[in-house]
Amino acid sequence: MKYLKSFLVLCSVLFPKSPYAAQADSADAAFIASLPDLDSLLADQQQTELLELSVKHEPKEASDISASGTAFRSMDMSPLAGSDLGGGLKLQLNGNLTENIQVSGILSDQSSPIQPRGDTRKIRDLDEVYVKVTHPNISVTAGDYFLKMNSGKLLNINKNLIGIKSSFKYNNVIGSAFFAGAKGNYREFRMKGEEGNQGPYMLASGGDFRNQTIVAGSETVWLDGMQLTRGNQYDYTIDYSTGELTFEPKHLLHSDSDIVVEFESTDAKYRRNTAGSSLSLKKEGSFLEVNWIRDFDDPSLSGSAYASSDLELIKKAGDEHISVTGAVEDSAGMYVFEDNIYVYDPDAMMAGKRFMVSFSLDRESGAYKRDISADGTLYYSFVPKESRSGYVDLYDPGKTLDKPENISLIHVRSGIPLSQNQMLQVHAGISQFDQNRLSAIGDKDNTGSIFQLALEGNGINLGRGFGLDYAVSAFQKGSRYQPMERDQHVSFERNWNITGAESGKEILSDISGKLQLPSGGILSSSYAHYSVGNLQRERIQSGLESSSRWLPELKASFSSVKGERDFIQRSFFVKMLPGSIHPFVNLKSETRTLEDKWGEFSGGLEFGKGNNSMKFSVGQRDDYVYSFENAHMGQISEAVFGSLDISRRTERGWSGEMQIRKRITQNSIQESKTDISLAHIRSHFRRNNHPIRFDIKLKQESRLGSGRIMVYDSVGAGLGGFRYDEEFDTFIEDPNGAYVGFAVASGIRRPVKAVGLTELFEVDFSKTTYMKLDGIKLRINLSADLSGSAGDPTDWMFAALENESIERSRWMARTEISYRPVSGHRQQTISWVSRRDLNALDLRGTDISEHREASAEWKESLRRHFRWTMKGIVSDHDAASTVSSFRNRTSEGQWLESGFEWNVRPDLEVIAHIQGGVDRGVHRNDSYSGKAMGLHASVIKRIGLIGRIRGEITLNESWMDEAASASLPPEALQGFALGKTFRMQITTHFLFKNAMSMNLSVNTISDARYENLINLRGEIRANF
Amino acid sequence: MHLRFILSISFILCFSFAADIDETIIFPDRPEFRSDKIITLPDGTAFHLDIRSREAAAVLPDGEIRFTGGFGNGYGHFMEPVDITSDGVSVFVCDRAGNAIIQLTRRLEVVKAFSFNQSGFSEPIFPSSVSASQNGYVAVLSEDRRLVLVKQPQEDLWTIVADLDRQPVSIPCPETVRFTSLHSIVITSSCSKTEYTFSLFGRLLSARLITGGD
Repeated sequence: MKYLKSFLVLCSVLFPKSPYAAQADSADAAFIASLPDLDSLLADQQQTELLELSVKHEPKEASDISASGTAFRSMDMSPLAGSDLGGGLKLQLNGNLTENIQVSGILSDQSSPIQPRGDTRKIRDLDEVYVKVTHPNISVTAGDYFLKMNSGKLLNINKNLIGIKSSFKYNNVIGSAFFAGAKGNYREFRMKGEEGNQGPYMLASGGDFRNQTIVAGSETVWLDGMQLTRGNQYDYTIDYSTGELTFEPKHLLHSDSDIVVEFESTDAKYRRNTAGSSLSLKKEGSFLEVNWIRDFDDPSLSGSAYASSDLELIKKAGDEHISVTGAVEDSAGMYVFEDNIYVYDPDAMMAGKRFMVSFSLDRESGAYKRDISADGTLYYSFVPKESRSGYVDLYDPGKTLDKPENISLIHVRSGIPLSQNQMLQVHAGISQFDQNRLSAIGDKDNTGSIFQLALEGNGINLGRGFGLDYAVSAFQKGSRYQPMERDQHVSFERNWNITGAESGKEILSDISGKLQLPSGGILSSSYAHYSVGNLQRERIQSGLESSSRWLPELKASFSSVKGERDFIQRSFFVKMLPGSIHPFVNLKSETRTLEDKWGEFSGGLEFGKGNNSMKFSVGQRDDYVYSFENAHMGQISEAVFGSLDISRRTERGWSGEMQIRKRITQNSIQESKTDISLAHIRSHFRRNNHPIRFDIKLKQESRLGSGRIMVYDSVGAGLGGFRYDEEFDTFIEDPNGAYVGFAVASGIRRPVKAVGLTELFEVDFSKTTYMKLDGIKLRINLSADLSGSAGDPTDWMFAALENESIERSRWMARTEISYRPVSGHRQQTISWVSRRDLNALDLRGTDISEHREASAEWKESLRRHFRWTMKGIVSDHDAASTVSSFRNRTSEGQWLESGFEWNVRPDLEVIAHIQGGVDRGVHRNDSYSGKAMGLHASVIKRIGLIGRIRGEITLNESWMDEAASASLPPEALQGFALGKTFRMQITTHFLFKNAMSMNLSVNTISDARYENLINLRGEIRANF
Repeated sequence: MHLRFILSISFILCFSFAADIDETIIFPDRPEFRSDKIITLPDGTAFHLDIRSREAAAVLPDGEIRFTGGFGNGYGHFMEPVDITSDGVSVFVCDRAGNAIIQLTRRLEVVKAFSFNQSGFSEPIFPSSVSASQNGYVAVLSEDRRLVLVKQPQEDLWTIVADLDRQPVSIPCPETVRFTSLHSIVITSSCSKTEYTFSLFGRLLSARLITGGD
């Protein structure tokens, strides 16, 4: 009976429409469910015991808290790199401590490197720690959390922290306290955009990609006062590891774009801690809030990046700026000091004292540029003053010592209702800012204050459908007051026509009112007086917002700022007509009396219905500058621009978005004309059971191309990802290599046009009605990344090495046709790949590599457990370089593998194939021809249910024809070195019930590149 | 010129189909986000995957919502995310056309992309489903290549543990993979409505029809 049941199940699987399957389907559910094991698979009765093992369950004690996790210890050994011990813990907790107390959390100290862009260098470790205990009145959280301390307009702190926080709630009282380490320090970055440059804009201050990281997700980006959304389908993208911000084509940047970025950066020299508490009381409409927060740097040797000698200097300096030289006299130094310039002289060709010099980024007064020698060593060379304008990143042979800071804020805010709709609010704060925790010098001016008194009324009914909101406020900020984060509106400086560099006591008095009209519109007006130091400003603002059937959107605003020179802002926007099609008109202008003015007019058409929308607009902007000579505003630039946005999503599976921007600017002062075109097109087709899948993304943008230099560090054989090939003067990707590679900025940038294309196309003929095509799939993938300063992107694809206008031309096309019928008896795959990469980002010159490969694979089941395999590859590879002629080479050849895959028993698999091939080509005008023949075999032995042993061995011999005069390129003969190659890998993996597992792996390589290289790795893991 | 022509045709095709769809908004800040896959951790953290817009979202226990992704092959982007899983500490996104499993933190910071190219596979694997065990093993099913691969917790490389074409029984239409315990992996077949249980080491242990009522 047992075997009959299994037979029915098996039939239902193998022949879903057979009568046996129907019988199985109609069987009782419990009957089916009682078949945990496919008994018919058992080769013999001995294995029954193993299968029974699999259904055993460890008895669990009844408990409200469940804990699970793992702890491990690992060891890596290599005769060249030595031994390395490691380990980690992961624990998950969930459940109820008591009826009202719940606990949940994660503890993990498993370090995980972030490796953006494939850089092989570890950037930072991430430990996940998160424990939360909750009670209806109290909660305690430990680990990573996001602090939001917001109170009114003056206290607005958002931080990523790692530490502990607790909060409680009792009747009308809410309180919290926390102590944590900050993941990064708050930074604010303000700048104007550059005409037609979408980025990247460098955010972090260090300039060296290896030492700066932005806390992921900590950034808030504003463009012209509007908060943006991260994502390549939205507004901007950001590379946290390099601190580079790039705007998507949705927003075309120009020279008057206001960019503000707030973020947390980890480039600080001290570990920063944060502590604080808050208390809030609410009763009968009134409230009282008290908040205290303190940020303080750890100036101890363990908490700072400085040596004790530097800390001693900081101690003595008080609040003064500290700068020290980066040059140390050293007979083994690489630099010679000559004519007040440090000259790189690695070969000691120059006379004079020698120095070891460390350079630091100094964009304002730096005089040295970063360079790279022919052997790949980074160095710095002096740039004459008249030539420095071409460099964004310049360096200085010195460094500024940062001081450990201590900032405390105490804020008290209270609100007292005067009537149902009116409230009096008082907000007072004190800051204590010590610029140097290590020194008491200059600490008398550390205290500052801030104060705001406001009377607000909301929703006051004036009768006949009219309502009124009003606010009267007085604000004062002392010159010594130090906020932790921005406490003014993001466009405050622009709106008040100030530079942001003003200092002194700030006073702002403001009276404003909003009249709600019976039609639903709002009429607003305000008067404000602002002073900072001796600077005085008066601002009158008025606005109108309304919505009606024929004018669905109407907005108008006027702002006048009186100061030494008047500043006027006007804007008007109207959207017309009911229904789904709306013409619109937009007018904007700004005038600074006796300085400059600009006016912008645009109009277009908007369509929106359901998931479909379209917006088209064209416009013009004129910029003027006041000429005292002619006593009038003279036009300096004229820009015409247009945009098209389309978004569509249908139930047939199509979705797509398109954004096109164009801007032509003529500048009469610079006598220049810029023509910028940006485009972002995405389209997808995806529907269940449809044979076609299709995705395409095309992006065209203008940006400031940034040179990158790949630098390689030797870290020991077997520990890196690259090896250096001396004969070809190049680094080759190799998992057993001794080098790690990382990119650094060259500091040279040039405006380029960039085009990116990603395309996926797939047809699954099994989903069509053509039965003869069952099992066939067609895939076509394209990707391209092209950038250059001149010419047509389609020409860049096959550009020559000498083409100096190209920055990068990299593309790949892959086509695959596979045949894999459901029966699995036969598998056939044909693929064709073509790749090309022209890289001119390196200062030393340009490299180009081209690779074409066609391959065919055939797997045929001769018996149920025995499969014959065959694979053939025809390829050719060309490489050329202006950096080193040693890199110039060609290679073309064929490679063949044939063998079998045999399941000897359910617990034993053997895979083996013989392999061989030929390659011929040219290296530096010398020809070569090489051949290879070898064997590859692997055996997998399963030890019941508890383990697996896998052994793999490769034997190969490669040789060159006697007439050959050149070296064998690294791509030839599938990467095998000349002579005999022996590779062996043994891995064992055991799992002892559920409690413990053990892994052991041994890798050996012996060939012309690595002589008896052995790597051993072991791990013991306990699960609980 | 040809490229422009092809792109123009593609573009016209993409925008020439009618019939609107009406879908529920999940995140007011991202009204276009659709949740195709959801996983929830015991502490209440929820991870969503929008296959169409190639975005992942995390809703943390304190209410904070984070997003990552977007169509692309660069850092932090997905080519074709088709599945999402978590081992309780990390989140793993299965990027089919990207030929990689991308590890993220709970807060959706990118930790690492575990590419199959790095494991010595010369051809793409096209992973279609992913599952992670509580002790950090990650299993992947390639529906296209009909393979099951496993990555050990501290390793970067993938090992083929089962070739579905070389099993004692035929396994048609493999659709999903999931860990049912620390040492067993279940492959679900969509067309035969059967679950196939493998040991962590690739041995087929049982096949069971998926009974109705679920």
